[in-house]
Amino acid sequence: MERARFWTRRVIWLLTAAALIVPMLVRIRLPMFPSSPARKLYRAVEAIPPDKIMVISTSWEPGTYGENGLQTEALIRHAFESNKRFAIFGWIYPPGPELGQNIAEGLAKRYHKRYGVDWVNWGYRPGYADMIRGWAKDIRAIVSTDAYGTPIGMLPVMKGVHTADDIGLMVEITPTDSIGTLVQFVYGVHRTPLGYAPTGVMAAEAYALLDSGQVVGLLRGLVGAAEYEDLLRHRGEAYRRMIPQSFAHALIILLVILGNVLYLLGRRQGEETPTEVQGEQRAGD
Amino acid sequence: MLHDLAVWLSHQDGVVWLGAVSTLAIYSILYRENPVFRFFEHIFVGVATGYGVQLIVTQVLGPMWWEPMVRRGAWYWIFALLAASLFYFVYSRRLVWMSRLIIGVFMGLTAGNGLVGFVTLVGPQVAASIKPVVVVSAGVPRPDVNHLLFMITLITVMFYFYFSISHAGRRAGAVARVGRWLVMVTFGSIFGLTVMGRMSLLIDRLSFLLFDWLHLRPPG
Amino acid sequence: MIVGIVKPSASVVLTLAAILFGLLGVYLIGGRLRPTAGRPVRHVAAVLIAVVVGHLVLIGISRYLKQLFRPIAPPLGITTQEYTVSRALARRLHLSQRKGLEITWMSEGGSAAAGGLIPTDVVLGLDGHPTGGPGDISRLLRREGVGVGSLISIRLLRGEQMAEARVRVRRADVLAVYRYHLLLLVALLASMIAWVLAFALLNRLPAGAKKRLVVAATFVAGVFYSTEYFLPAQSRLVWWRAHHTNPLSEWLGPWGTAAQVIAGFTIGLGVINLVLIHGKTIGRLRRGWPNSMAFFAALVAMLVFGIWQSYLPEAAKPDHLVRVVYNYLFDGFYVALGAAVFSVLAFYIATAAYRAFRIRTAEAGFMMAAAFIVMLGQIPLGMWLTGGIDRSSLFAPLRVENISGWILAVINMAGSRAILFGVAVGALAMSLRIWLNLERGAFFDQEI
Repeated sequence: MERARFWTRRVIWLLTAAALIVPMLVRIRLPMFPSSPARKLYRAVEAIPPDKIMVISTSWEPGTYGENGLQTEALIRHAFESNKRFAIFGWIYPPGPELGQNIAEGLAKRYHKRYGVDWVNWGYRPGYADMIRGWAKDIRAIVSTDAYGTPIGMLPVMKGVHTADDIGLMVEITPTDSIGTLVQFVYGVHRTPLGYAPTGVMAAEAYALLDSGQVVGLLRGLVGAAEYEDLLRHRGEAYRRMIPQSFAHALIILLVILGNVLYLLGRRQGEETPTEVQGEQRAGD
Repeated sequence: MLHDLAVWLSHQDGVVWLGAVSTLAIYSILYRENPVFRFFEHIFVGVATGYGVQLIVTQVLGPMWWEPMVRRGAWYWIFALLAASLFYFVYSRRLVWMSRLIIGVFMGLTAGNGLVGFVTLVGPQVAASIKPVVVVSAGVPRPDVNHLLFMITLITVMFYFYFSISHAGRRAGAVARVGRWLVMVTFGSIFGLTVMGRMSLLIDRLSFLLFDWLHLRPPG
Repeated sequence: MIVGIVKPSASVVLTLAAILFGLLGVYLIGGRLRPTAGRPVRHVAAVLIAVVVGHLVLIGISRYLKQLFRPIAPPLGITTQEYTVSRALARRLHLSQRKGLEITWMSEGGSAAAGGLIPTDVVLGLDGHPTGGPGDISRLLRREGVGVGSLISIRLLRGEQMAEARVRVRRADVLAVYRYHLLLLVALLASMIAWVLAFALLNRLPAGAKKRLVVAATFVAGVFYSTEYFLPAQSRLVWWRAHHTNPLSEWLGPWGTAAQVIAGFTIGLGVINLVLIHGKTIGRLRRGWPNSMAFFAALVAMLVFGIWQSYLPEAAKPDHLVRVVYNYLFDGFYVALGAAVFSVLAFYIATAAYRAFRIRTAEAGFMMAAAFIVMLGQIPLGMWLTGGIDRSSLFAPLRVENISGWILAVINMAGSRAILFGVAVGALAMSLRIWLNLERGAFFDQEI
């Protein structure tokens, strides 16, 4: 029984890998239609006035690069294409701004954008809500230098940016529920428009914020990134990954159905199916 | 000579190879528990911790504390260090109350923020929950189905989670039951989106292994 | 008494603070705020005295503490860093030297500011003497003949033009030149000694008083943030409108800056914990000690190369050895390992789907149905399945991405919001309990 369980798990894992790898290597074209929350975010970015700055808050870390990294890339691409100046900022995870900066530098060459003129990296600031409340009132007190030690006043991109009132849109890209803090102290006090790009896990709860207007647009994980790329008419990495994503979802649905069908058949035959969840997982992260 | 070494290293695929080895070492846990996995797991914790410390030292403590204090004469910043040092008394059995003091201050601040947060987060949510159930178009009143379903779902689910009234009665029980059914939709949505999220992360790593490491060509 | 000294709106804050101070004083000393039976007059008198004392102390604090907590200005009120003018520009402007000092910061009331200098100016010479090294300005200000009131001429480069500025030396500058570092050292040492003395004294308090001190500190901290938000701006009762400020608002910025530094220092706690655990494993050669060695090696490597590449200006070039090693550590280890660890979860979801998600009740079936629709509605495969339905037809809502979108935006949104309300009320209750010291549990009932 133990050996059957051992190998069943490995077979399922091999199936999972195959269900993802094969579609990645074979050329399949399927249609895709951007959803309303993604469109709203796109419009919000387009609507940023030239005297205000966009803040791309990279509150993520390497673990969720597959979702948040691609969302960041799509947003930065949009900012470059529509000539909106932006600031990269991190306040939840230390590596966030460096990851965002690497993405921005990769795209900057293509769009002929220069650091300090078209975008800035404010770096990571600890302190969570305490820091955010002070930052919203006076950005330059908290962000007195950029991530590389240059005094912030010296950078042309920072012209006219002093408080949260000078932010045209702040997009929070994160696997956490940090949007709550921003809704409370940035939107709640300064009415700064907020965008939200969570990972899939957090996306379901975000709809309530979208409905109340506290968040103006939403990107749901990788799907959101793909939708955004579609809106940008640049079908890049996120869009391509929707194909293996499709097969992954199909596989999960099939596994649930298969598992339940076998379970019901087993029950009908009178077997006592032991609880199979014991020792299923070691701590995942 | 060191410079030549650096140039050579930076032009190789070394980083990609190291990344691939690290990824596969972690995936080895799927076969079974093994020492390679443990080794790389420890490296991960070490690198993550080291990164956090060096970042805070170079980007926060350096420019925001040391610079003003020593080079611009803002000597009072020493109190930031002294206040933070109170946290470290958590290791002393005799003086642990001092750590309680600073923790208490920060907890108090968070609690104060909690009061503010309730108003700024929930207030607009309540306002947005007042949705018209009947709309008048061209002089004819008709029910707005979406808003009606929204109100029913909101109220029954809130009632389901409200345990101060017993759900045993017939009417209370019926309302709670409807709430339970409708909250299942929320849970199903969360599950569906979670699956999507987790799979994306695996696709990302596989993409790295196939395209960045093995240089297989992506289709199209 | 108050109205003549401070502005009206600040007086509101001051009065409230004084009342708070008075009540806190009574609490800290007496331990209870409710009047003891039979001694109401004594109690009320104590509160009134405390309020008056509180007023005086707070005014004294705001006046004299502001005088005390002023920065010691560096010479001329500027900080500089070494700067090398490009060869082309030096040739064009016929400069005899290329080294200068770029002004990176300037205090607003300082003599340099008064003389017309601005940050990013590069100081090339002072009274005809070149200023290329970090100590040159101080050294030149110490020359014979330079004193309070002297006018010195500064040759500087602004952008791509040469300029001259005349700066009048002030008393603060002369003091700074001779005693800047000394004054700084004295201030730092005095602060540390005062702090240690204060806490040595506080440590002598009885346990009950220490507990009350912690409770009082928690309460005052909670008052700050909530009052700042709820206090009417300039006596208008419009706290629900955005953009108001009141006298407490100006403290948000400074506290935010302080909080991020204090929070930054606390990272040591996590490091100490990890070092202790892995140190013990190595020290006692427990099973898995090579892994702990790997932990330390990785920690030290990332720490060293991270700080090194940050402070070394040459390391900005991608070919530099320090930068290359850092990239190996960051991309090769950190990013790859982090992403891999998280991605393993996907495999466990697959096995869980097969083995654990048992649809035993109708409600569970309903949940799965919703999950299936949402999952199909996200992906192109699902959109292709219902692709046959024309997007503008009457049946368009039946396309899976539309059904899925509707489920998410209406039913899921309502359910999420209901859950959010429950969680928010719980969080509010928890905040109040912590703020008012009503919370019980292992941490809060600890002996102090």
